[in-house]
Amino acid sequence: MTNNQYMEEILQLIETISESAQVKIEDLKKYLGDTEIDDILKQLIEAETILIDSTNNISLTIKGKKEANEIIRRHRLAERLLFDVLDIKNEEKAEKQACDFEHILDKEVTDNICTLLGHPKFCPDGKPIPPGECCSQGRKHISRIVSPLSALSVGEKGKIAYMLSGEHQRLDRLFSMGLLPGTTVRIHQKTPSLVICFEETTLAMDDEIAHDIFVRKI
Amino acid sequence: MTSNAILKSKKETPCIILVGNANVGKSVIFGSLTGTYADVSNYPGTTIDITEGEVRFTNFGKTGFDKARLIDSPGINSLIPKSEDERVTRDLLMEENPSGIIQVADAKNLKRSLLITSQLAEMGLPILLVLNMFDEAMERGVLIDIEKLSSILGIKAIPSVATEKVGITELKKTLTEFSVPAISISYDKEIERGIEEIITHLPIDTSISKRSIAIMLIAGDTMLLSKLTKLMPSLNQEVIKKIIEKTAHKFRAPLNFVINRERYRIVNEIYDRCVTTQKTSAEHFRDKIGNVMIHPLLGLPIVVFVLFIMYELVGALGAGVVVNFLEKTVFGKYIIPWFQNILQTIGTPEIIMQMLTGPYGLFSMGLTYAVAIVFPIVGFFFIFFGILEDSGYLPRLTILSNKLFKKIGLQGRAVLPMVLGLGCDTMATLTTRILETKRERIIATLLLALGVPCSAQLGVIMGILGGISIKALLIVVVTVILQLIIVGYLAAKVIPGKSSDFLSEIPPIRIPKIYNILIKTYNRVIWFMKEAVPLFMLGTFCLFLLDKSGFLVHIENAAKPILTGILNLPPETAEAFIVGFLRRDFGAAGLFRLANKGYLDITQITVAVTVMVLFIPCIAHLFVMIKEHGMKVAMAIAVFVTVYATLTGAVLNIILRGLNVF
Repeated sequence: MTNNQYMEEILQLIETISESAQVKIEDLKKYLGDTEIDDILKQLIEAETILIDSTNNISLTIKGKKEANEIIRRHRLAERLLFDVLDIKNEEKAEKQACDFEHILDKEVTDNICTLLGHPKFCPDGKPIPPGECCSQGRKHISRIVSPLSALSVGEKGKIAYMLSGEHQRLDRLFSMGLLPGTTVRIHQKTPSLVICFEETTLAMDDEIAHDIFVRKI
Repeated sequence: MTSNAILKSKKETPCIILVGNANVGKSVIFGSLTGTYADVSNYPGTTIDITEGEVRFTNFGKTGFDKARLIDSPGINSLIPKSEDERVTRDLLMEENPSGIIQVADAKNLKRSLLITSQLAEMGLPILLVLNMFDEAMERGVLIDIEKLSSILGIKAIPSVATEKVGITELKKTLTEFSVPAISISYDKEIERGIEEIITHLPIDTSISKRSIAIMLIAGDTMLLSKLTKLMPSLNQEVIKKIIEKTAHKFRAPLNFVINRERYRIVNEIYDRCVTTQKTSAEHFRDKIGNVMIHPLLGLPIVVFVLFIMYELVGALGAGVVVNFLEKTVFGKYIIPWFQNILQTIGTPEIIMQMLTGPYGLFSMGLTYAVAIVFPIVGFFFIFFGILEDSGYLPRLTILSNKLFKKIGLQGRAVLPMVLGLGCDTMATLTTRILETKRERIIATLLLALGVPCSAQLGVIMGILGGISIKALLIVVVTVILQLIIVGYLAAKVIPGKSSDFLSEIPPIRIPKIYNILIKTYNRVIWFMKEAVPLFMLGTFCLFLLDKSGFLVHIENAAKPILTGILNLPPETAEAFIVGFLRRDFGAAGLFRLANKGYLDITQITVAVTVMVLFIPCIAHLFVMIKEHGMKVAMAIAVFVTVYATLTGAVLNIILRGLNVF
């Protein structure tokens, strides 16, 4: 574990404990059993994320609390992703993976996972997942990040992420018309038939074809 | 063309092929380069028509020839064929050994065209690029730096607006200046290795580069492999299949996809270097009209309006006024009597007289029908159809109709033959070729045979029923439409096979150019007359034989009990129905006379007209079905339609009488 990861772990621990009790340096030592803890705490103080008062009580600064929440958010979202979406049955393995994820996910990836999962409020064992920016925006538009073209509403735009097709012929045809991953398309109308516009092309298609084209809404 | 023309050979007259995506104006350019004369022929083994003409050079150039054959190829999206159209175009390129290609591009969608350019470059074919519809590109803020494009590709690029003859003179001047585009694409090294290996196994020189053949093979064109094996018996199919398989194993995505992706990358680079796009201001007025046409609600009154105009133009003016004049005056008063006179003066035997000018004579009935009736109807119809087509309305109509057609086993494109059927069912059946799957072609043919009245009939039916009772007219219309839906729905369930994808490009709304419509109509009428006149003559001749042998009376007698027993119609209607098989309008007119004489009450008229609309339109139509689908399918359709029409009439009779509708 790198120094940075240690700092994140400890911030997370302080926040978790402080949900129910006062946090003392001794508590941290009990959990971590580490003699280097003083060093790390010093670094955390320098980073203005924690405060230690005269009675050795540790508390988080506003900045620290924000950081800790983000770490917890990443961890718990990772748990949801692993359990619910990727269907990892082995809990120990999933837990370990979640611990790794919490350090490597950046903000954008985290928000995308959160949106993909539909902004979950609780992690699998029932603990709350701190909401991110995407959640407050997400309440207004709850569509997934990548959705079938057919799920977009009239006037919305999406950038093609990938296309599924059992039939190569269909894929080839779309491809040679200029409809391929990376193309931005706009939904012109959905009834009586789906009509999309991209570049200088207007194309009408069956809904079934549009079900297999996945776009990132923009 | 000989089958081993694929191998390098030097033909006498040089040949130029027009190549490009669908609907980019190839045919208009073909027309302005060759004049109106064109020879349409069926590409061997397919249902695809190829147009060929002759072009004269104003600039002899280095060719040393003063003219060349010009071939208009079917529209394509890619030269790695995925459809019959694309295969035909690819085969033309391989077999005709062209000395040059005129590639026609839609300037506003240049990227797609460059994809084809890159494939032509790969084949090593010298080209000339026409950037057509340049006005539309400018209008939409797509600015193409033509000089830069020319210099990057090392080819001539000519902007044009073919429908307005802009750029055609320049095209004619540069017509001999072809060069191979300087696009070279190197693919992933595994694919390159596969290409190299395949090339070592291709024994003989071909008219297109070995590399392009290898790429097509790797991209999964299995038809090409068997074609090559026929031409080069020494070719080891298995070895090549192994190489392809080995290469495919190295990639997760299909090879075709990997190849196309790389192609697109290169094309995008070229595109970005020569094209800038500017945001254009507000929507053009024409765009707004286009949007209204496909609006789920506002679009419907427009359909009704368009059909009404069509009825007025084709049904009332074409099938009414013009047909009357040609049939009664020109043929009835002048041509036929004059012809009879000549025959008599040269002392023609009576039986020949009968055959040529009798009641079922080849001249008096067959030719009169073809020239005086079908010709004006089809002519007016094609004019109208051309306007719908060139204005961009037809593809928009497919948007409105797709969902409905899907329910009856067809898709939006089927609206074309169906609308054509309102002009002439025989012609419409010929155009079911545009449908992609066999199943769709059969369902469309069946529905045309069953319930789409041609304009010759529409005119007379409207005449009879409109004059007697609007209620009766409505009952007929509703009954027929209901049968179309029921039969279509059931046919979709019963007939094996699958429907094709509905994927239709919607062009911008354009103002049609009269000159282009007339040229198009002229070519189509010629095409139709060539296809259909022999059928009408053959049909008349059959009827003549039936009549002379006395068989017609037997058929009439056999039909009488069905008419009186099942349909509750007087036996006199038998003749109207039989004659109606040659000319449905004659049949309808026969009913009209019977009704006038008081032989039929209104319920009987309603039933008789319904049955007549549902019957096989005419004998020429039956022949066309045999021609397009073979004897077995055509007979199955004919028998089904006859039985179904009779049963529908019987049920309708019971309902109308049971409910005391009239």
